[in-house]
Amino acid sequence: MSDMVVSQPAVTDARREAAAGRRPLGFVYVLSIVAGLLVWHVVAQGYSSFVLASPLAVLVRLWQMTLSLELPRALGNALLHMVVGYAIACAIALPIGLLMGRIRFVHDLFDPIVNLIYAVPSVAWAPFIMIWFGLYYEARVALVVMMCTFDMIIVVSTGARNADRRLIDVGRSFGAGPWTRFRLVLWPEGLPFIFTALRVGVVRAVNAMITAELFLAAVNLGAIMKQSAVRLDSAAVLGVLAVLCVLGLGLQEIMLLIERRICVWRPGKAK
Amino acid sequence: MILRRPLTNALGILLLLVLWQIAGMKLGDTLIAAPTQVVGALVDTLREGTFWPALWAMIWPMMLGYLAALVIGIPLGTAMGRSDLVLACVKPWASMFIVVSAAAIVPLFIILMGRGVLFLTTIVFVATVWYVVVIMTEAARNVSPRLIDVARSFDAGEFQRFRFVILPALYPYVLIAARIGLVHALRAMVTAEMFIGAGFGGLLNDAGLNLSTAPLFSLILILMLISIGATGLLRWIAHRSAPWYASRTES
Amino acid sequence: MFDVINRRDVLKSGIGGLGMLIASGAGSFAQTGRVLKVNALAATAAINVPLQSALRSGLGQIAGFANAEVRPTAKIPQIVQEVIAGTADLGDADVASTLAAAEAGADLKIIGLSYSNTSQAIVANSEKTKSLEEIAARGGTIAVSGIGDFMHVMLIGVLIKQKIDPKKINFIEMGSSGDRVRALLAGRVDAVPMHVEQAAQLQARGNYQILVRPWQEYDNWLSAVLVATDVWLKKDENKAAAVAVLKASLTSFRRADQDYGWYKSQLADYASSKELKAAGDDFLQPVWKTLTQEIKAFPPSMEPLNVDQFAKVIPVYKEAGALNGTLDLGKVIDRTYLEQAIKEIA
Repeated sequence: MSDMVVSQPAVTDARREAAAGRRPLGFVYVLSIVAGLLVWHVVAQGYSSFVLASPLAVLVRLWQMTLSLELPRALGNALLHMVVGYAIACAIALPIGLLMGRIRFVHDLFDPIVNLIYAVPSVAWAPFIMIWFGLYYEARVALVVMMCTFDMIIVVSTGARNADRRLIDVGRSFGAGPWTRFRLVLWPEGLPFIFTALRVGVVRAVNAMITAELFLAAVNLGAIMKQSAVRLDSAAVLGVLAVLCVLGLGLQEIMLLIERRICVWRPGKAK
Repeated sequence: MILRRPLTNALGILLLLVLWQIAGMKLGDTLIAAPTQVVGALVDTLREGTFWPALWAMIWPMMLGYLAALVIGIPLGTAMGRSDLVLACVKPWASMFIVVSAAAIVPLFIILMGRGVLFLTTIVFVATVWYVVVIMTEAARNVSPRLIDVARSFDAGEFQRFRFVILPALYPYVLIAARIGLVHALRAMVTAEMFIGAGFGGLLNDAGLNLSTAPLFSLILILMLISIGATGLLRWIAHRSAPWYASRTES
Repeated sequence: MFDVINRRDVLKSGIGGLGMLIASGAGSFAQTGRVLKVNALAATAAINVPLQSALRSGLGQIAGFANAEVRPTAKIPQIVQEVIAGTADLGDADVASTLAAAEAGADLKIIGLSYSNTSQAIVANSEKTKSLEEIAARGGTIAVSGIGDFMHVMLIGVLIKQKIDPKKINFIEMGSSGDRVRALLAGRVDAVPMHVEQAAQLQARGNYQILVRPWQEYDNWLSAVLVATDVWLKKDENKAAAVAVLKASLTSFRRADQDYGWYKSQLADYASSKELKAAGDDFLQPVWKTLTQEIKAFPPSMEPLNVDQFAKVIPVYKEAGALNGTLDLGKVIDRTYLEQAIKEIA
């Protein structure tokens, strides 16, 4: 929580306030999770374990799957296509988004296409991907790329368009060339949006990771989910979902931490 | 200059259509129906008796879930952006649930809620609200402190600061959240319908059974057009009601 | 069908204050008998037509019952899940997930056959693949609806019979039948299971041939059954409901066997595939003959519903690893309602 407030006199007060509030808030965070688990537990009492397992049952099942190495192996393999897909999506989305944000022509050219493709549920793309990339690893990577890229493009291009023109003009009036303007004005100004895009991308990537395994050839985690569903092993199904949730939460928090370290000048909330 | 925008838009779409036509001709209509074939299938679909009721059956539960997501998500996200306490309470859940795809939870929700409007509305709500919340949280956190300090220096109270500085600053982001929320709502609705074989999703299922992909693509095309139309409408509203934020709301 | 669901949802959602009034007054959808909730697969193939006809129009002709609310379900295991959870009265479920669930301890009862045997066959591109041996020899791929589902197990049984090692073939799980067919067409997989009428449609478009016909390899490859939970069946009104459903089904089976014209008209109403609905007699009549005479899919008294017949398929499931073999079929298969229905129709 190293948010800094722009207005100078209030800085030390805000810092002191933040430090005082930090520890109880971490507690609230954890308490919130525990409360949610309790609600789940209570609701699960009303349903047979074939339909909705309780948190404890899920925990036990997860432990079993971890010990038998079934879960770690599946997760490891799944993470592989997720990470590769995410990296490719970043490599595509960031440049295109930035270009779209700054060059009007590029924006007008790609905008309708991006929005059209963004509108369709990912399930509908499975046939295309299967035709061009097959059913296995390459296809899963392609689906992850597909599901991440468009969200990220939209975020980056919105951010790039927002770079305060006055700042760019100030740079220009000091005789800064386009590359210098980019390095010293556009990049720092656009960095927060890029981080937001990266976070959005991570969210979509975790989602895409499991979607790819459910809609193309079912392998790894998707296979566990499907086969557990047939055997009415709802604890395993919920367990996989829980793992995904925790993974998503963890990755987002990590990205937030990285962002705070790098973008220290970004204004936080003012109290 | 003013005319250039729609022309370039059209150029982009044209490029896509050309690529699509080539792919369709090379691979045959069982794998990828070409645009020319899809147009024919489109006309057939529109004329069919089952299409319009299915479309209506998709739109109104979706709107219920979507509006609920906005009504709850916007205040919640704003509160999260302005209050650390609320943030600490809700953030773990927002971060976890936003990652879960609608397809993964539909089977469970069918059992918990049946197959009716409650189920559909809930799926749309659960899939949409987190995106709205996250966007509003970012927006509320980023309200420029300079604006708030100016208000403070004019001796504005907490409530006045909220009403006259923060709310207007949030407005453009509300519209962004509405647009992105709408896309996710539509997608979640179609996904849920595909699981229960009802409405538009049911039509997609049936079309998928055909050896020719033309009916399937015609439905996907309709879906795209609905989405673009709706988000276009929201963008127009944004433009008219907050034109001074034009650069921020357009994307 | 969408209309039915749409109107019922309008009632349930409580825009219904008014809706309730309309419902009690209007004759158009006021249900005068009990409406059963039956889960079935979202896609109705040619072999599913008689049961769908029984549920959606035959049942309404039995006193005290209205046409059933057939709820299309995209995922096969979900049919059984909803029956167990109590959100559906009956399920038109597949044998594999029913037996797996029963083995896992669910209190399911198989009370009837959705149809006998199976009409799905394994189809491959004849230019690229001539036999299962070829596929195994080059480590080819077959896409099935689910690992451990009835077609997967069927194939493993056939492979073992032909002394081919099933491990040499790469089985992948693809839930959607449309996606599987497209994978075959795109050459991404070597063979897929599909219904005979779909195979016939494909043959019209290219060089596709049937590699394996389950009804020729097995005495009776049971695939789809009517299930309910024991708890549900304990109530008298549900017992009567089970009998009513079976009566409608038997009537439907008998008519389908004897009257091609009737079968064709029902197919036009209830089949999912537009191409199938529009097909002419030259296409449909051979399909009908295959279903009624070769496959014997609509036995007039559901004779194959007995422990012995099911016991014949269990070893194959065991070999494929889909079942442990600990199931007591006598406790799962319940003929009482069927016999009652046969008596009442006669």
